[in-house]
Amino acid sequence: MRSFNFLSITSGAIALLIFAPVLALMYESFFSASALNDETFQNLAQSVLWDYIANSLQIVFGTLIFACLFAIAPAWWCARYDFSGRRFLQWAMVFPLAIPAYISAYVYTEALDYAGPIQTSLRATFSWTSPNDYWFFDIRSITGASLMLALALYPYIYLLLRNGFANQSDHLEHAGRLLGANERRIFFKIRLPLARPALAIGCTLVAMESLADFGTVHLFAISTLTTAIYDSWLVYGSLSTAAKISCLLLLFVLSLTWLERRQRQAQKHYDLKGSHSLSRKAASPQQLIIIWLVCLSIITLGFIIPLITLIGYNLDYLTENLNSALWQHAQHTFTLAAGAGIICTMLALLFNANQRFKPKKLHAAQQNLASIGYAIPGTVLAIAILIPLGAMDLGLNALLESWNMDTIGLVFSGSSFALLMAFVIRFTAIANGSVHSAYEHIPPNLDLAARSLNTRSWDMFKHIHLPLITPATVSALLLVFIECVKELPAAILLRPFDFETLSTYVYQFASDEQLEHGALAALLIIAVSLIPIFVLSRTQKMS
Amino acid sequence: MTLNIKPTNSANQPSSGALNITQANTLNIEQLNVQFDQKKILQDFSLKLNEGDILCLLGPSGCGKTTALKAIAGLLKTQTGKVELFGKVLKKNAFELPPEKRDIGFIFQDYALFPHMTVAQNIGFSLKGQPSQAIEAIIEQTLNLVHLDGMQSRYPHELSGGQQQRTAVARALANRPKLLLMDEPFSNIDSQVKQSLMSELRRLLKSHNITCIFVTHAKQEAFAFADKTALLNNGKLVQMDSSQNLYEKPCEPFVAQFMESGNLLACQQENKNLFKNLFKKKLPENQQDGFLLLRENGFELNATNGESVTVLDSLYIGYRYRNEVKLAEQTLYIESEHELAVHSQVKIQYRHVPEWVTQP
Repeated sequence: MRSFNFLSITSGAIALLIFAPVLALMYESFFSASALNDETFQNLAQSVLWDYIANSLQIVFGTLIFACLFAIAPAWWCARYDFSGRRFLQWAMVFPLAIPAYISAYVYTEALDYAGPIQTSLRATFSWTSPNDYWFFDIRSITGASLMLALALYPYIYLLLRNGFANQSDHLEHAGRLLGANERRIFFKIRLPLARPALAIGCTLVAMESLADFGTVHLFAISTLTTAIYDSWLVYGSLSTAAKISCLLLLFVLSLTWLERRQRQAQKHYDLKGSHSLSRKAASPQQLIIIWLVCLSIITLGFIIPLITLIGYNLDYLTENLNSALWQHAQHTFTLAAGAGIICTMLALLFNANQRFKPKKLHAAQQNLASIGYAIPGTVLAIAILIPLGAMDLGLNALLESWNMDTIGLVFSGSSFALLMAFVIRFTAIANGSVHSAYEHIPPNLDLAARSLNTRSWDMFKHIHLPLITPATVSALLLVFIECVKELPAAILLRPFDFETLSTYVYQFASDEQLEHGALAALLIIAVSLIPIFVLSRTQKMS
Repeated sequence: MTLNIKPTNSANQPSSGALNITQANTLNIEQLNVQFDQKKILQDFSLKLNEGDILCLLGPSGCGKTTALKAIAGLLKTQTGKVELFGKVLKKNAFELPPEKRDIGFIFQDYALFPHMTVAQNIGFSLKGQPSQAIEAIIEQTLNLVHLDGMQSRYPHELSGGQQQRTAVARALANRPKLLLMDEPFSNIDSQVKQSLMSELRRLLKSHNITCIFVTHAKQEAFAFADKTALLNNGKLVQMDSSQNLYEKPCEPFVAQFMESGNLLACQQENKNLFKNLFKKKLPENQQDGFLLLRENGFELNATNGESVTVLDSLYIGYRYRNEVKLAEQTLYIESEHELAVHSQVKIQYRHVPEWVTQP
């Protein structure tokens, strides 16, 4: 049993370590020397901070509205109706998740620009000569950014809601009908209220992601809380201002997390004991046309147009792109992502095994603590990590100097260590979730049976748990890997000099209005992002 | 009202074929057929029911009993056949009245309570379009009926299994159905409270003269809850009668086996006299080969003129013993007051006139 005391201590320490940057952030904001006399923040608070908050919130609400618009009807159709091509369509609706919003933003800016193909042909058709002759939608606006974010994020709502609808028992509909309700009343009184928690969870996820977005709003030059953090640190060089705004953003995000957890509680009661599922109705020809038309338009906007544009760019600049520094950056990115994936998965195994062998509130709390990282926006996390690592670098160099040795520079905050740490803190929650749900599916009696056959804890883990959770462990590794490749805001702030991840590489080109040169890297990111969608569609088909 | 089911005084005749008595019925089902793809789930299902009757649809799993229930409620597509309720046509050939217009209450196996609504909202679901005071009055009245007073603002997940069931009953009754259908209503109830719950619900239905069909695979529930029982097998109604007649006068070997009525002693015409000594009384006439149904508690032990059997096993079953004995090549179960020694020889004789059970 002693080994498991060791386990408890280790997992506790790691959970704390993961949480430490948040504490550092609070300290830097409120108690550090620079925080107490922070002119940058005071100026900001008196001038534009409220505009930033307003912009951030407008983008969140705008994104939510558009995302619901894209997600709700297709989710219902794909759960309720049977029509030709449904199996393809219900997964194709998830494809836009693979396109980072800033890539769509770039593509649509090019397309809808004054000099872009659409406005040019409009002018040619109607013989307009100047921008004063007509009104045209300005994509570089809050509405435009919301639309771009919604196109990339609506699949969260769509997936959750589709499952929510599909898991509703037929019995409830039958009960409703036998009590005299027609289809309309059943949809609005029974189906939609029952799907409400799923909708709410999806909406909070979308809200969190859009609040945390950096790439799209920065590209559109919209000042939000995330760009304010970025500017405070990189332009004004004020870490404590960045930390203060980070705390503000964190407050919003944590309220959203709290909301989400509450909804999940509610959903527990809505899950019926009998695992019936919704039976499908054959769609009429008119319905078939509407369903395909709407879904295909959304997929075209969110996936096909950006993809085709990128392929087009790539064809034009293929030789240059193939010979660029891309491969070196890709290698760096994949190595880093694989490292983070392995660490996150090991941590997830540690937390869950510990919780399994010694179910305690403390161990559950450790998991929750370690999972909070996922809710922290990348920009905030980057600042939070810079604070302790920067202090450690200063301390180490001062120490070396006092020993009359050569200083070694920023070994923590200025190396890929910082980036690795950010990835681990942010994505341990993903690995943990995957491993945790696999563990939940192992009946506790299996452990008791093993114990009754005189199996020691380690052997039980090795011979019983591990084989049963292997698929989940692999998918945990894969998911973390992919998220690391896609992660942008933390990577932008934390990447060492001369070091690019695929995302920062693409984003540099996008912000320099030269995405053509980053098109191959962008396609690589999209290809990697599509992996989990295909894996998911296969596993769901099998079950 | 008299029983319109022809009593099966001759047990050789399947009663399902003998139901064509013309009389005004509460429920009248004729030749109902249900099939999925090519598989026939329900074949030529016919029955008639009087107002206030409680009928049990009994049968092994997969026999089509739940399908029959859902077909009556209009919850699945049926092929040919006719269903009438109080003279109103629910189904006739291609015509199908939608379920919401059938005036049928349905209690699902999982109760299908709306999880996002309180008990009161569940019960009041069907009561739209009335003044809210009237609705509240009905809800209160119904709650009182099923002894759930004070529970109106609870949510389904806050109720016990029995309370959930009563909520489901209340919700169905509030809609004033002309027929109540219940699908395995007692399967989720703990066995300790099942008996009292069944008698309570039966009293409620009887006091309001509610016609009811319920589905189960447990014959004890048929005995405890139903006035009549219809036994189904492979999508066909095998026998419909009082539970007692079903048990004591099974129309075919399947019924006897399912009801666990007793021993079925295979008996061919040519060797009918093989076990002459086994019977105290003269065997009834019968033209066909078949089985003799012998109650397990109908044997006299150590009868001087009896047939000699070998005891294989003797098992205590509460105040008596159940013995497995060998008679020629056949195994019988007989009850005795005292334990019988294994391998011993006992002379036994059947006290009653046995029933003939023949294959249809």
